[in-house]
Amino acid sequence: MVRLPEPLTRLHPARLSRLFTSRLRSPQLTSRLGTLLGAAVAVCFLTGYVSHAIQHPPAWFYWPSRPVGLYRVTQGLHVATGLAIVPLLAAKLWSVYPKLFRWPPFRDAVHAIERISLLLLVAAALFQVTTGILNIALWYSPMSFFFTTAHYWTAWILVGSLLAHIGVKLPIIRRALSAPARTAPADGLSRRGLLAAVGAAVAAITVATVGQTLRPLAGISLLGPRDPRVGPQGLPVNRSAAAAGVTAAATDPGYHLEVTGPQGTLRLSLAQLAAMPQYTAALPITCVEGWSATAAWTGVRIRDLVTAVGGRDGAHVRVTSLEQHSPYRISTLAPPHAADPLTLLALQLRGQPLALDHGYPCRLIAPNRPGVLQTKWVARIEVLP
Amino acid sequence: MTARPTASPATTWARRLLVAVGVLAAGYGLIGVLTDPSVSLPNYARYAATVLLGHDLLVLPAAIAVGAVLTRWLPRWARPVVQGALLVTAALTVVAIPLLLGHGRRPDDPSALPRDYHRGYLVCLAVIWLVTAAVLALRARRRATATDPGEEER
Repeated sequence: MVRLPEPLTRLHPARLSRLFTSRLRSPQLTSRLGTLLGAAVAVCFLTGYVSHAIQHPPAWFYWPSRPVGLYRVTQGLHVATGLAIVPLLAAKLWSVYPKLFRWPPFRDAVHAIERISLLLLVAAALFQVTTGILNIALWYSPMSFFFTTAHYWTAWILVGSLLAHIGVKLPIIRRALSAPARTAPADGLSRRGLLAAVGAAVAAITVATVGQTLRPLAGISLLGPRDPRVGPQGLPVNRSAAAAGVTAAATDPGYHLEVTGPQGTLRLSLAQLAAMPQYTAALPITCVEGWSATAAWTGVRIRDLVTAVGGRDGAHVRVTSLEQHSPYRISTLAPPHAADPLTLLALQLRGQPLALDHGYPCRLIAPNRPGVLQTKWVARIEVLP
Repeated sequence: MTARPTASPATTWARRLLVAVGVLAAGYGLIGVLTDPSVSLPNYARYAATVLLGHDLLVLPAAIAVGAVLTRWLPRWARPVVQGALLVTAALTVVAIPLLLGHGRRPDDPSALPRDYHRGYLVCLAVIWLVTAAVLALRARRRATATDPGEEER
């Protein structure tokens, strides 16, 4: 029943493409998958750009402190949509796969440019999806470059080559999407069947992972890289005190917080901080990697500390960690966050002193900000002029 | 096919705009990759080439071959359902592999990859294939009782 393969001479690319017999492949299918994929890439790009801009704000950028959980929505959406791209991208690339073997590779200069831009598009898409998956699984060794900046720049390459690709293919896309539906091939999956399978795959991946930010689904998200219920004091941690190298400094009984403003510098011991008016806020901690969890934080309002050293309400406030070697050692609160009464220098989590891994003796917790900017093990607070 | 309908000027300009904006954005990203010192260029290029060639020359052909082989002996009515289930399985596996390998575990942080992912992955596979079996059983029954063959198409 097994026939001998044809002689190797038949492996000429022009002939190779004839091996792909599925009659399911069509401009209609490709255009429909492409539309869904384009929408998903747009969501990822916009949510990703928002996250980037919060961390490296351009002059025109404004990010409010309310609603409290907006960032957890945008970042949860970023990761969930990125994961949903896996089956969409797989089906899309499958639907055009034989075209890789078109011969000759370039008909003319324009065609050459088109194919090179396609190469860029496919490489960028695969790069973004795989690095994103590695990042949320905390597996960095295969990347051996700085994930954050590489993912950011490649997002521009992906979106740019995607826009150019849509521009090139626009007439085909238009014709395909407005064409009457063809009858499905008799053998194997129908077009609707394939789209349903892609939808089922998106649903399966989403249910299996989205519990890392949607707490009610935590119990059934068996493949969530984080469980919002697991960690010291029932809350996940991204960087432990040991990894940050702050254990000795943070547990030093002689610890003092320095607060600097126009009227000088205050040095406050932990007991003095605890003697100030305490407030409790239920705020989510949201990681750029897509997990998030709400907890009750108790501590001193940042605006009270700002007032104590003579700062105004509209000031920027710089918060510095005891941590020495981290790109996130210093975080600056923009005026909306610095003045928000919910922004705390937290001393307690769920009624208990902060666990060392959650930033003991005190940490920043502000509404609607990425977790990397919620500085732990705070050493110094400066009201900027 | 005779002469193609000429595109409206609006379409032509939309295409030019899309290509121009796209080239600018991609160029911005490329310059960023080339000049940002925190992106180590050789590693970046090696990784990009690996995922591109690995996907186009290994993973996708392997998936096509596996799908073709596994569904070859199935009756025609069962094939689409199994092909769909294979697609779901493959996509979920891509997401699960780094978790199953568990290189991201950290001895000092029990909240990093806290679950038993082998068990979780097996449960997910069991659910996918139980649903598939149920759909197949339903199809088989409908086939057996169907009098009007047109009823099966939907």
